[in-house]
Parts: sequence; structure tokens; C-alpha cells
Amino acid sequence: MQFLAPLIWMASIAVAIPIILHLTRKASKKPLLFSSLMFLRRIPVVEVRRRKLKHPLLLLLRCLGILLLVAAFARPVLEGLWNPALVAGENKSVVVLLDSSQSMAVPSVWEKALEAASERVSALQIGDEVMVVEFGSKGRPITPWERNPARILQVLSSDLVPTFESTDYSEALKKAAEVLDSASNESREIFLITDLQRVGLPGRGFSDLELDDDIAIELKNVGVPSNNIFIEEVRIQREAYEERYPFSTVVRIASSIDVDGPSTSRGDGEVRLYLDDQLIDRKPFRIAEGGTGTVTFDTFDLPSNRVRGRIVLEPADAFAADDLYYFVVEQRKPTEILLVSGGDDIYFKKALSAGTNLPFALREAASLSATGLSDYPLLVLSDLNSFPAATLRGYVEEGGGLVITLGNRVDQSAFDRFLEGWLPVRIGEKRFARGSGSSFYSVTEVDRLHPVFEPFLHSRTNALAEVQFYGYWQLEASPGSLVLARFTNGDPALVEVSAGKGRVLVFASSMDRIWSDFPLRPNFLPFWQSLIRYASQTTTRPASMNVSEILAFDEWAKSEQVETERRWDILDPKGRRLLGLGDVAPDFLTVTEPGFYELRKDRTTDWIAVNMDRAESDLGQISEAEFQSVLSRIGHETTEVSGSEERGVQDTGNEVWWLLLILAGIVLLAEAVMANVISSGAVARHA
Amino acid sequence: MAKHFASRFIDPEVLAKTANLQVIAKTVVEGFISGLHRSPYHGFSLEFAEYREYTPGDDIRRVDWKVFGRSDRFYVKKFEGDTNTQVYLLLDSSRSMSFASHKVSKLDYARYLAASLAFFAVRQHDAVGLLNFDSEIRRVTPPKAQRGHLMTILHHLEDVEVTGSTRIAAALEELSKLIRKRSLVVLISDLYEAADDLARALRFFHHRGNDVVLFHVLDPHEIELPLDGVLTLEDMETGEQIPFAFDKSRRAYLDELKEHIRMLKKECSSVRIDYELLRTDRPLDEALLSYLSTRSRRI
Repeated sequence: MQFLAPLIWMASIAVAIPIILHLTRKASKKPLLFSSLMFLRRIPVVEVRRRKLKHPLLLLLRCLGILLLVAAFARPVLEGLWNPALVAGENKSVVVLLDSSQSMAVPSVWEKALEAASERVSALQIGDEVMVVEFGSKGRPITPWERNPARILQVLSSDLVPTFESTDYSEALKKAAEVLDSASNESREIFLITDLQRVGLPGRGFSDLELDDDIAIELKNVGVPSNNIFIEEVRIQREAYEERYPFSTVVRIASSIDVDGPSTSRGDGEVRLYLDDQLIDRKPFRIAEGGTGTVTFDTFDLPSNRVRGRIVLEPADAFAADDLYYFVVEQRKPTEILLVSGGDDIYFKKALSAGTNLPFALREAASLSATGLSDYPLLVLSDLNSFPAATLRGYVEEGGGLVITLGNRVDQSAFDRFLEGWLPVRIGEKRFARGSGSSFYSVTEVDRLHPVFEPFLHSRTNALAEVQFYGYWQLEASPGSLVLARFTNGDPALVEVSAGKGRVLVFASSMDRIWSDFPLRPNFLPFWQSLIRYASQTTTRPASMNVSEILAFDEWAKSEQVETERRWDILDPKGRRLLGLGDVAPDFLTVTEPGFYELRKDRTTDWIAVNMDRAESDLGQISEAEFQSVLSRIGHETTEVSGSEERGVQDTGNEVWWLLLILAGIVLLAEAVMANVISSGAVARHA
Repeated sequence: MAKHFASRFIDPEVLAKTANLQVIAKTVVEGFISGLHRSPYHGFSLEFAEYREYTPGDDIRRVDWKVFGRSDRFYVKKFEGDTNTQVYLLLDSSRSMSFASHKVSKLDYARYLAASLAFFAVRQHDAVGLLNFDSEIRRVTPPKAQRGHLMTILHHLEDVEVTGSTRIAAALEELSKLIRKRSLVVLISDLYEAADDLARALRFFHHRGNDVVLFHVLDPHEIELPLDGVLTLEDMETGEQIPFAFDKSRRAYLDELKEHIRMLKKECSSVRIDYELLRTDRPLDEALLSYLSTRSRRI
């Protein structure tokens, strides 16, 4: 026998009530008048230590009555009859698609969602099967296909909570369609329970969603109109190369309003900045409904090399998760770069020392020496005519970066000897614009997606397009090398070659004003800073990540300069150990909760700040009609189940609750008669 | 059969349906007497015995005018049992007397009994008086032998209300100051007082030449204690409450009560006081028999 509502059995604890009453019923509170207690006073008080059951048959009837009532409401079903083969008619396979995104944590929404899921499951008929798939940014089945609703209800009544993910209806419906492919019944249905958050609709609609025409979609909107004030964005850098964090921290606050939502009474408040749980600064803010505003914190001292920071809106509103922003700031030493130059590098040196919070510091040497070379992660060789091949090869193979610029002093034979048998790059002859009938060469082709050109990714033209090159060395890039930029005539202007753990970048021209006017161009500084950063493998990490993003451990290991083979201890924001010291670290970790993930190795501890996706903060809803409209573009219709509409629990014909109710009625009637008889007798005696 | 017939009229529950004490008393006594006529207690009935010549002081209503007509001499009727006895009915009106486990409370029963005895006494030309008491004497109706006095007694009985707690010894002591002539003292009470205290007071009465009849009126529940479970009992007189496990302590209670009655009987016996235990669910004939038995000793 199975029960459709097994939790009702918890009510059977009520059986204890009559038992306790029968055991503990003491003298009536209303005392019985008696002529005189003259004789009774002389009788020693008899303490009744052992409780004796009074009227055991009456007690039995009462307990039985309660148990039968509870059993009836638990809706027992004879298990043998849960056989689809016995059932005539069409059965359904239903996917209960449960929105578990962060916005479902708005008060009362999640409870309504679980209730709706339970109601749908309870309404299943014999032979139907159901699977529950929760979704945020991805869909995840949380039950297998199940024909016994009781088991599904058990899962729904367990500790399910909303996730911290954002909403993606496209991913959710894809997963639902995927699991429905394995359904047993021909009639298939998706029962979508969601708050219909507008941001969950994919920008491109459901154009890439393949949903069979026979799959019915039923929509249950459990959302409540809500307004929300939240931290939309915080501009802060993780790395500080000075003792004091050198930038202002800009906090952008936004207010999302729902047209149907209540008028928010809170348009102002306070933003607080905490470092290592110490309040550093606080700023008031005022924001209009639906508007945005910014609050700026000044630079601050770093109390330690690596601090965990929080920015908090006070007071928090009903949807508090986005009133909090986590970040990590750490103080780092600038990377030291060694420049060995044979030409004029005044512009280059200026470019690498301009600005604040620079991640590198330039050192110069007149000549190249093997001693102490490994102290520098990057070596810049500018316009040299000789190269200590063995020293440089070993340096690069071990992970050093090498940037070579070619100018007037370069000796072709020396350069080729240096690279021969090592890197697939050669230099040909010098080319000058004067002899070619043009006054300069231009770079017209760059690999815009390469990290070196990342600062110019959104520029209308390429980073080197405006530079006039008067001369350059013709580079021959063989397979194995990567040409990042080319001159108009197709000759490589910038070539990258990987060697061992290091990188070599060869720039076909010089850094002075003799071979180009590049130093006078505004892109000179960001180009060389970006190139140096890339070549030295200096990585910068964001001050925080968003939930559902991936933390790549190899990149982290590089930034932390630790061996990737090492074993780490990883704890999530709640302090639960995700990876023990004895475990080998995975390649990546998907962060799932806001807060600080802790990565421990040896004696150092690093933190990764994780925040909820601010897209979830916009609690604006779309209407059911709008959702249907979007779906209808791929030929699908939905049926709405409104909040007030209740899906009736259907009697499967195999349930025996009514029989139990009748039995309970009979037992309770017998109890009433017996109680009346006993009570009458007692009253007569006591009268 | 005849006694059964009579008992039918003096069943307390039947009497309780009659509001008029006079009717009750008459019913009881006449039913009782009619039973006596057919019973071995023949000598107790009020029968005409002889004529006696009138002497000043005799009640003029007792002159037999028929004899006067025939003989021109005044003769008065003398009845057997006519002793001019002075009877004091002492009615306990403490709060414990209002206890009732059925339709007749102890006070009701005591009223019926007192009314019947008064009726009886008046019929026998005894002077009957009534007083009710609790810890002190509440009201006194002095004894008189006139027939009209019966109504005074009955009104007094109807007006009796329960008050106070039982202190019989104190009441008897006070009563002793009122009684100047040897009397028949009939005490009707539930006797919730220590047997030796009670006996001391009664003995004092007896030694002053009074005859004493003690009617110990108890409710069936007081005698049998048929309840079960654990109940809180409240003393009707003091308000004191005691939790009482009937199942466990019934035997001890009954033993205490039995010992109390035994002591009362013993003390009464030692000073020739008639003691009669009366249950409120039993007819009144036992009480009347006891009364007549005592009164006959005075004749």
C-alpha cells in the first residue's frame, strides 16, 4: 500500500493525546462537595505512582478513530493497482519544471512553487509518470521518472531551496524536452512553475529550442509583483600594487520596479564598505523608483596583503541577496621586467612607467648576463645585435617571457643563429618605405581577439592601423608560430611563438621614432603595456565572480604561482569542504553560492569572492500572455493555471480513503456512545 | 405485607415529592400507626384508657361533655401514654446536613423525621419544642402541648437553613441552660464530631434526668463511599479540599466511619442513650420505633 500524502501520517502523533489524557486524568478540577473530611483527614495520602489506564476500551476506540482519520487523509492506494497495464485510457508523462533561480527566494514565492508542484503531482492518475526538473541557468532533474506520486511528494517535501542561479527559460525547456524523449507515455506535458521573471527570457527568443509539437506546456505563475533595490555593479580591482588601494570604488545602485508591484517605501539608505568585517566607510544614497545611482568610496588602506571585502546596502529589502556584494582585494608586488636595449627606448620606458597601479616595474641592463636572469619574468631585448642563445633558451623554456624588437642595429645572421633549431621564425631583409614608392607601411591586419589586442577590442580600427612604419625587418613565420599582426603587404609585424613554458614575441620594427611614428600615437602606451602583461604572463583576476561561473584552476595556479599538481583544500562559503587535502584538484570548479570560496595550500590562503548574478535582481515579470506569445513563435501554446484555480485531486478509484473515513465514523460513533454511557454513570455516582 | 404498605408511604423519596411538612408528618405517623395496629407493637398506640375527675389546671378541651351531660360531673379523658412529656427536638442545621447523593438530603430527612416526631408528640399531648443549631443554637421554639403548636414547629422546620459547622457539644451545653424540666431530648444530626466529646455532653444531659434519643443521619454515600477514581473532595463546612483516591482509600474510610459509629454506640450504651443510625434512603419507621421505645420507658 502506498500513500499519496504520506506526510499526513505525522498527524498520527495526535494518538498521544487520548493516551496521555487517559493516563493522567486526575481529580476533576471542580471539587466534589462532601459532608465532612473528618475521617478522610486521618487517612494517609495514597500517592498513585503508577498510572493506570482508565477505560481502556474507550481509549482504544479513540486511538483507532484518530489513526483511521489520519490514514484516510493520507490517501492510501493499494499498490497492486498501481499498474499501468490495468488502466484504460491515455496516460501522461509530466515534467514538473520547477524554477529554482535566485528570484524564487522572494518571500512566499518558493513555498507557493512547491505547493503548486505537490498539487500537480497529487493530481496524477494511475499510469501517469512524473519527473521533477529544477532550473536556474541550467536544468537539472532532481527525481527520476516516477509512477508513484508519493515518492515525488517526499522529494518535494525535503529540504529543497532556491539556488543562486539566474533564470534561463530556454535552457530549462531544452532540458525538459530532453528528458521527455525518454518518457514512457505518448502524451507528454511540461508543467512549468515559475515567477515569470522577464530576464529569464532569452534575448533571441526560443529560436534554438526544439520542442515536439505534441508536448503540452502548462504554466503556473507563482510570482508576486515586487520592487527591488540592489547593488547592480561595483567597480573594483583585485590587484593593488601599492600599499593603499589606489582607486575609488564605485558602487552602482539600481531600483527595479514592477508595474504591478507595491510602491517601494525605501528610496534611500546607506551603503557600507567592510574590509575583513571591519566597517571602513559608509555613504548615504537616495534613489528614485526605477532609477540608478552611484556611490563612490575613496581609496583605502589595505589592512593585510589579501582582504575580503563586502559592500552592503542598509537596510536590506525583502530580496536581500543582492543587497550585498563580495570582493577580494590583494596587494601584490609589481612584476620586474628587464630591458636590455641597444637603441633609443625613451618612449618605451615612459610608456611602462606611466599611470598608477602598474603591475610591472622596469629595470635596465646594459648587457645581458645569465646571472639573476631568472628573477625577471620578462626580458625585453630591444635592437640588439647579439644573443646568448643558450642562456635565453633555458630562460624561456623555464617560463620566462621574451620580447624582441628589431631595429637598425640588429644583425641578421646573429639573430638567425639564435633562433635556429629552436623557434620557427627567421628574419629576412630590412624593408624601408622610401624605396617602395610609399612613404610608410601600415599594419592592416591584427588578431583582434588575441589578449595583446584586448584593450582595443571595441575600437573601430585596429590598434596599429594609424601607425606609420618607415622600416621593418621582414619576418618569416613558419608553422608553429602565430602571426598576430601583418603589414599591408602581408609581412608579419608581430609574431608569437611558444617555447617550453615561456612565450616569445617578436616585433618586426623598433620602439623608437626612427622606424615608425608609433611612440607618438595614443595606442603606443596601451599596446606595449598589454603586450608586456601578456608576455610576462601577468594575469589579473577579477575582484569577484558571479554564481555559475567557472574557476579554472590552472589559471588560478598561474596567478598564484603555485604548482598545479599540488593538492589543495577547497571550502565553499558555508565552510563545507569541497576538496580535501588528499584529493587531486579538478581542472575547474563551478561556483554555485555567493560568498567567499577558500582555497588553501600549504601556509597560504586565497579567497574567491562570488556574487549572485545581478540579472536576477530585476524582479520585473512578464505576463503569461507575453510568455505564450514568445513560445507561440516556435509553434507552441501554453495553458495557464492561475493562482486561484485549483487542480482537483482526482479519485483514481483505487484509493481506499473513503472506506477508512466510514470506518473512522463508525469507530468514533461507538466512542461517543461509550463515552456517554461512562460519563452518565460517573455523573450519577458523583451527583 | 401491612408493614410494606406502610413503608410505601414513608419512603423518603416519596415524601420528598410533597412540599407540605404537615402532610408529610401526618402521612408518616398515620401510616406508621396503622402499621403498628397490625404489629406486635400494639401497646404504643394512643388508646383511650379511663376517665379522671377534672381538677383545676386540666385542659378544659379534654372534658368529656357527654359524660357531663349524663352525670353532671366533669370528667376528663385520660389516654394511654398520655404523660405530659416535654419533648425537645434538636435539629442539626450545619452545612454538612445539606449533603445529598439522591433526592433527599440529610437535612430534608431530618426535617421529615422531626415533623413526624412533632406530629406524633402532639397527638400524644406531649409538649414539643424545636431548636436548630450548628456551632450554636440558631432558633428555639419552646415546647407546648397545644395542637396549634404543631404548625409553629412545622414552620420552624421549613425555615431551617444550613449554616455554620457542627459543634454539637457546644450546642448541647447551651441547651442545658434552657431545659429546666426533665425532658425527652431527640437529637437529629450527622454527628460529625469526636465521639468522646459528644458522649461527654450527652452524658451531662442524661445525668440531669433527661432521656436522650440520638438519631445519626447519614447519606448512603457517606456509608458506602461508592465512587471511584481520584477526586478532590471539599469539606462542606470548612471548605478544605483533599484529593482522595477512592479505590485505594475506601476501605480505610469505611473503617474510620465504622469505628466512629462503634464508639458512639458504646458511649450511648454506657449512659442508656438510644442511638439509631438512619440512612436517608430508608423509611422513617425505624426512627419512629426507636422514639416510641424510648418514650415508653418514661410512661
